[in-house]
Amino acid sequence: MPAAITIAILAILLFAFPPLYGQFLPQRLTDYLIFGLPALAVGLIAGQARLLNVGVGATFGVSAYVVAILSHDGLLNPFVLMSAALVSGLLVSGLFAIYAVVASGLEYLLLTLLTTSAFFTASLLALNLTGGENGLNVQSPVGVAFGLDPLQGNGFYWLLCGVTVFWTALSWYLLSARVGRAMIAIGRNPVRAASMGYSVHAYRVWVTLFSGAIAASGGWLYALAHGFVFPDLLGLANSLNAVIYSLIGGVDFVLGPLLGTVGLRFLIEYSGQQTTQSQVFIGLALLVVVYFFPDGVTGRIRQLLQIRRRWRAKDVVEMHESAATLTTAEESDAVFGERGA
Amino acid sequence: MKLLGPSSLVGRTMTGSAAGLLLLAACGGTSSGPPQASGPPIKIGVLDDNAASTAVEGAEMRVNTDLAVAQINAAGGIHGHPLQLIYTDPQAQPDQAISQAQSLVQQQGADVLVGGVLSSECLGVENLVPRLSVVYLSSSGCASEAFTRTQCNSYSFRANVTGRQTTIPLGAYMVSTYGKKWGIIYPNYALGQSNLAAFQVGLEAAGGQLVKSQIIPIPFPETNMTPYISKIATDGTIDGLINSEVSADLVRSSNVIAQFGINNKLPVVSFLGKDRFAGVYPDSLTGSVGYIPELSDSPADNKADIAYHAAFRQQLAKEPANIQTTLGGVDKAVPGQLGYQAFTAISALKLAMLQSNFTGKADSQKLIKALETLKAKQGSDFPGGDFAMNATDHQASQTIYVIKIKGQQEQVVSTFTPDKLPAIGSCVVK
Repeated sequence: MPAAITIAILAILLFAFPPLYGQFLPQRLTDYLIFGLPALAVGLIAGQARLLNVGVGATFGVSAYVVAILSHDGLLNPFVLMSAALVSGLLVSGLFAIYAVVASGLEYLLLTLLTTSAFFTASLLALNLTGGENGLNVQSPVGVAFGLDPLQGNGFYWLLCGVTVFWTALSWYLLSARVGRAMIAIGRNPVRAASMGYSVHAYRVWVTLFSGAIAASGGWLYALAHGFVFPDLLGLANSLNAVIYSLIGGVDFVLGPLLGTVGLRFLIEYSGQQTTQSQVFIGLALLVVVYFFPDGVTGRIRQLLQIRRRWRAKDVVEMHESAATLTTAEESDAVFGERGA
Repeated sequence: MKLLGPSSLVGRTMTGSAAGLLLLAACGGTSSGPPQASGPPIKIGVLDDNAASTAVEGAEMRVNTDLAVAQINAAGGIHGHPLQLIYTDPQAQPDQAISQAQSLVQQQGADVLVGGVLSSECLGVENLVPRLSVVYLSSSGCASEAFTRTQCNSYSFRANVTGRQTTIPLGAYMVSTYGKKWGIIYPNYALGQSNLAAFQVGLEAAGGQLVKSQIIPIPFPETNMTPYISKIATDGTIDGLINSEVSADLVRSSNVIAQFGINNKLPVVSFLGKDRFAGVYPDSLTGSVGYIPELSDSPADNKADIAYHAAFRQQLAKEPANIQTTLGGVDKAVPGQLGYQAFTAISALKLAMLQSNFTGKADSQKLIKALETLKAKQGSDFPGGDFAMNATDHQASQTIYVIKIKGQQEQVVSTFTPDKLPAIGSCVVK
């Protein structure tokens, strides 16, 4: 329950606070949250289900491209575009789900990697459809975003907040539910889970499609927010970025990947304005995080809270023990008279 | 995190001011000197990529942009308003370029945007700027024809020549001088394929052609060029070879071409400019032909270009060590084609701002009108040659020189002024 309250408070803050700060903060957060969605997907599929998937960028990118391509074909209905983006993302995830059934470990990792590279290359080859290396713009970017201009007002930001809160809350709920616990158990020890009667394949397909839907939402929103798509969105770099964001934020807690995305993207933007060697500082920051926070920032916070809880518990036990000793002493005093008397 | 120092934002502003003061002092800047730029600053947001893959472009953009702005501020700015540069590094990631462009305008109050090395970056920003109502000029790089050929808009401008604007005149020279049949080696990825298409257009326009069997793709990345270069026919099948490799692969391929003696039997057309080779042409490039908008070594009769090179070296000496090293050191570095693009982009902005009395983003429409009709003769703003902007698609033309390499010398064999360059396409800004 405390986690639910935390998520609810954060959700309210997310909706209400940034617009009070002006136009800029919601727009920066828009960008962070969009890339936070594929990171959240990675947190679920790799962090919880222990499937080493580096193909989330393909799901994200295909959904974004579908919006741009269909808008060029004159299809500008926002609901149709949203559905098409999600369905296309689910189709790509379906491919990864097949891999999750037929392969595991390193084989699975390589299959997702090669598939992502293939999507990237395909976007370069299908020049007339995708614009090749130059990318492709989205026609009528405000119209396809339900009339919400990402650069003006808070409407688009609230739409994005709604989508993010929906997926985050649903992920949290499912992870807390029986289905999520079974998935985590399968991730940690699939043989043991299978021997207990769980269908390992079914759960893996489920988590792949669920995380794919989250990443596809990110791709759809990216195309609406920026009105421009390009091959890097489909490529390995985008996938690995999502992995890094989730590892930095920590995958133990559902908000970890989102926090990791906000932190690292802010660092990249800020350092890029301060120095010509920003990559060195970003690399150092990553080393520090990996060394001091191997379970990510939220993982470390959780550990610290556990230590505090243990200390408190220890204090309570000691208090009980000393109280018990005192009581025994008082009783014996009563029996044998005052000490030292 | 470096908050102060020559490469920091604060340091950058101070460096610009210091450079301006030094230049003023050098000119005897007292009451008789140019008026001081003391009004509210005009902010220029610069998307300057410093990722490993764009280090040279990023470094050239930075030094030349700094130089141009220091000179403008030293001369009194834009009607008393100093130019202030706000740098940001998208790290060759288009999504970062778009986000940071938005941040530059909406958070940091940039009045104009420049930069974005990769085509996907500048095309993304081009798509964004009409919604931000801010003028955008590409700077170093941004070679894609699409920028002004297919998706032009009223807020976006390109000050440098590119694509068929260069390959059509070069193709005319190649066909008339050496013959109609050409072979090509190219890196088999997007950039190489785009170069292949541009040369095809250039040759066909001049009545020449690429011989099918001599169109040789080289996988990317590939360090062993020998199996591919050994396929080049020197038996008369082709009249010349286009080497469309770039960066380190250009040096590698040129070495192998020289090793096989192909450059002694066939004319070789390459991408040239000393900046591509850390200031020094390798011996294997001797005899190569290419085009360039500004010569690597200033001609003795071009005083403006001599002054530009001297000022460039002074500016480079003030830049961070990593920038100096990237460009081959202060003693060897030259402004370079890509650096010249950055310098002339700021020069074009300056002239248009002066003409339109630009004071900030609210004057964007006036600035657009001034940029659209901008023409300039060779001089301190455009030391390489003349400049003209096409109002229809916002694509500029600049003088280009066809050159032949002899040791470290660039011999000019043909010159094409802006009026001789073809239009890049038929895009019309709205």
